[in-house]
Amino acid sequence: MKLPSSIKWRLQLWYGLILIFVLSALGFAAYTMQRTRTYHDIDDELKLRTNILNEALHPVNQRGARRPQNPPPPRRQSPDTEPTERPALQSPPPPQAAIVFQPKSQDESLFGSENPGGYYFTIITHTGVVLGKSSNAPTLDINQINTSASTKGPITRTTRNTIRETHFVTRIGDSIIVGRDISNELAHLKINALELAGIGIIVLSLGLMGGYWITAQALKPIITISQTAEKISASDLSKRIELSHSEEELSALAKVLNSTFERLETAFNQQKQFTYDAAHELRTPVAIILTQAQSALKKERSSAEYIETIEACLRAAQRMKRLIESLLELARFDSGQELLTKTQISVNSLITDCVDLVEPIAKEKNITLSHAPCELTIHADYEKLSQVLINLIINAIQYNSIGGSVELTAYAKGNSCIIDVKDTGIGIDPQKLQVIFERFVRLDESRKGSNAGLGLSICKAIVTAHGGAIEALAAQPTGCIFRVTLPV
Amino acid sequence: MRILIIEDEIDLAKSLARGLKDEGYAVDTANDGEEGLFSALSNDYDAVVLDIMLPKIDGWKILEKLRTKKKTPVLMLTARDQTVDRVRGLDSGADDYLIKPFDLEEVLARIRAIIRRSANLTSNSITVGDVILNLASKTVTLKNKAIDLTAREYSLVEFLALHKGEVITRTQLYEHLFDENESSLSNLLDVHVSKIRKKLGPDFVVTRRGHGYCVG
Repeated sequence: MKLPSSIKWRLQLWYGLILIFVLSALGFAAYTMQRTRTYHDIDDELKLRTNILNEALHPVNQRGARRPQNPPPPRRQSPDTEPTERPALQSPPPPQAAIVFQPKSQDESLFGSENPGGYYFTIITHTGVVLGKSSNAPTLDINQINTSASTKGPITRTTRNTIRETHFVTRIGDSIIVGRDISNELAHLKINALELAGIGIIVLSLGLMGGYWITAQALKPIITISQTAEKISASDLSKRIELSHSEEELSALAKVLNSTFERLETAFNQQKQFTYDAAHELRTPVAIILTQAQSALKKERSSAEYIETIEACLRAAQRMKRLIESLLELARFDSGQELLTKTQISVNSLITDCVDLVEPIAKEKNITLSHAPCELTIHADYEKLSQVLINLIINAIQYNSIGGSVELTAYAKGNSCIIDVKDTGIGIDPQKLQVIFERFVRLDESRKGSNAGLGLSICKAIVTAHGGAIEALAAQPTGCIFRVTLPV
Repeated sequence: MRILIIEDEIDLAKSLARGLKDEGYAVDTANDGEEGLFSALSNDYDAVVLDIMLPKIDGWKILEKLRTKKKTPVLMLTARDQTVDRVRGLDSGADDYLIKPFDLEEVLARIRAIIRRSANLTSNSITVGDVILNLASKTVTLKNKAIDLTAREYSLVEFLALHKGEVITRTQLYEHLFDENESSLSNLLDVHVSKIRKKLGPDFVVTRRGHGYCVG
């Protein structure tokens, strides 16, 4: 059987099982006690009567004397002496001869069918002669009684289902059997047991109902949480779980879930924005290729026109290629697949190499490029860091004012190496300083450059992969500083 | 028909211009917002194709400034495809909106549509006597017989037909049929008119001495 997976039903099941066990144990104990007491009372009565009969059969003052030598008891009908009695017993006794003992008149009310308890007695001598019995006594199997009466002292047992008997063997070996029909008591016990079972069932169902209610109450906040969580995951990541402050454990859970949703939403929105921006950047080059090719194909053109068209398509395709490369590079950094080949590199030669590479572009724009010598060495990926510096220097040249300058300085600060790229351009809007490293953010919205606003994002990804940081600061009196901080 | 394209992506502007010229339009291009706004304000264009992201002055501002002076139909081009942008574009007075990337045919169809709407036409055909113009296919029939016109001739007929009943000055015709780079000789217009009269009948275009031309 498969257990129900719901906590509610599982709790209910365990709770129910424990309740059933406890109630059964209680009920069983109560029933056993009742039964023991009933039997005890019955047995007391039986023993009392047995004693009375014993007293009557062997009066206390004659104790110690053997019965055959005793003068016959007053109620013994047979005046015969023992020797004459014995042979008579050996032959099948006459029916009336069996009734040889009558209890005292005051004891007579203790036995017989008129007696409310229905007590009966049978007295059998050790030789197997029925010495006396009450009118309501059942016919007994004498042989069986004799064999079972081998031990002295009273034996109480239940025979034939509803008969309780005490079998007492006197000191001379006579058997006194006192019994009664206990079917009334048994019926009472049965009713008692049924009552107990009934009470048990009522308590069980009340308990289960109470348990159900308690479980439902306890699980209600969890259900609220799960419903909200479901709604959030299904449609709207902006929803949050609201919980009262009383349920400490659950509000902690809700807080954890809420913060998870918060992060999920941010990541999801970033991803959405990124996809949107990437698609956005592809729109213009695709539009160029489409309209160029479509207009060229409309009618026969001169070969110069065809060349122009193909060149335009090529430019658009290259632009898309660069965009895709940038996106892939970022994706590799994001997924941690981009591996750095770190070596011990001299900051000075890194800067000198980059400056040499960019020098022609600076000259073209009439920008002065300068750098101060630096003795530091760092453990870093030379290629990737060159990419960062070249990107920063080219940006500094592009956004500079005519005749401006770009200055590179590197210095140690604590356990870090700092490289500053400072320009004398118009600077960056303070609001933009914060977002400039985000993807697809451009300094100039309309500038449809080659890297689609991904250049600085890639710089940031590279520096972050090195365990460093990159930031943009406003420079005095004008321009800005791009500061790369790298661990030494 | 004379159209201004304001688009800073030179390759895109060129291909649009070529596509429109093939359709017989006279086309001017501007590669930044400042130049575009100046051209749009100083000439009577039949339509303006306007990109939103432009250096110097962006498309929104150009539209705003243009609308204070002129009713020239504007087709906006943009890479933004969100509803808010579209709504903003149309609310700012753009007549239509096209999202990049687009097919050249769609640009042409939308330009035809905004020009037609600005001339208060509901269908693509104009009837002048026995002459029927189809603006979509750019064909002309005379008594249900197709007449072969050159692109320039068609443009002239179309411009006059769109202003049916109005007297159009020679200056207006020059402005709408030739772009700023064409060194148009003043008698070029007379040559076209005489050719049209040969093809569509001598009474199709009426000359109002000292004023201009008129059809219908």
